[in-house]
Amino acid sequence: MDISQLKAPLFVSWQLTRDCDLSCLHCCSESAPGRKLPAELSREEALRLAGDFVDAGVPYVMLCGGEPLVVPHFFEVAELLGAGGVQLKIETNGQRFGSEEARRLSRLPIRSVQVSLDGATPEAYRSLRPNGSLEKALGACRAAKEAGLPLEITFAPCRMNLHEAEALIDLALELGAFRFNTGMLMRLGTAVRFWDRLAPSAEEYERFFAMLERREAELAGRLELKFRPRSIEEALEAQLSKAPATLLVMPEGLVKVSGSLAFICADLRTQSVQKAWGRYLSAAGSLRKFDAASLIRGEENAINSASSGSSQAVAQETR
Amino acid sequence: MKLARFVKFREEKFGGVLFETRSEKVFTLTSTGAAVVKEIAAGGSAEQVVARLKARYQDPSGKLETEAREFIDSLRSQGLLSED
Repeated sequence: MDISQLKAPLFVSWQLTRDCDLSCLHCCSESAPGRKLPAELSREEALRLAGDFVDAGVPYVMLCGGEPLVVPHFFEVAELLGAGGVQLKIETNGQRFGSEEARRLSRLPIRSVQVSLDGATPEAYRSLRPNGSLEKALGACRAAKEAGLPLEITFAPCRMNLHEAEALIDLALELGAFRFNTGMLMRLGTAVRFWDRLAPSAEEYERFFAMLERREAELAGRLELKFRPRSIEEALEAQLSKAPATLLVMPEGLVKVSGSLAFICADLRTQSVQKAWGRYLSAAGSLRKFDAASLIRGEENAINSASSGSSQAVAQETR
Repeated sequence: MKLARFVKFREEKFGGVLFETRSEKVFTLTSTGAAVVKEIAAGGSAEQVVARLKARYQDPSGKLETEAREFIDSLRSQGLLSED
């Protein structure tokens, strides 16, 4: 499908805040308690933007963070989108998601609730989420299922939890999840600082993916195992050859061209969804000239030096 | 008969799109396909959908009816419709 023929995005991934109630070592967005960005959208701006997505005919929105449930107007945003017929996916760490939250969401067109479970035992879980509670995360999964909400589990493989990956797949099945999402750990955000402690070796990954392929075949029809593309490099490669009809919205209303790149193509605080969509299409077209490896090298340069030549060149082309 | 729980329809200049959000698969529709899906979304059985299409568009050869029925069968076989 030629996405330039579409009048609006089909999917919006909306990071409501960078704030979070956990300080995870492997966080890909540098979220932690008190890490709310200074210029995040206000309640009024967020509700206006939610209304704009409805008016634009966006069929599917994911609310994520940070932790979206720490946002005081989270339910207002979700309810406005849901009342407009938008299907919703909620990504949560499950620390403040109980029966009441699940029941409230069950009145909306919820496509899924995705809970991050990075360990089957409290020890492994806490080694990555030092102030987190596995019991609360499991409680969130059970609350979602009891309220009739489709459940997804996400697992980020690290040295500290890789040995529990298969047990977590069994746990996801027991919890009634329909999908288990994983892939290689992303070298983004906080994870960059702890990379040497976190990143599994090539041999560990080889065994991990072999296990996933075996379990995928075994569990067909019972639990979907989603692990392709395996890495952010593979995902970016796929995006460059075929851009998704997706807007990635940051807490300040800025629109990113790609989840793994820092390039911004629009600002929904001041621009309409249609304008942002047009700018995204133009930016995605510009990125097609590059290969994923050169873009990721450019991104690393951009982290080391804000005036990196390659990142500036792309940023200018997207404006 | 109606669109399945996780299926969303949106009209476009070229016709429309059906988006199955669970699998995140997108189906592109021609203007004829979009007209059929609009009637499905409005509710009723396959017979009622076809009857409404015939009332709205001229169909002296019966081609529209045949194509609409085949299209509905195709949507059903791909899990994009639900019967309740």
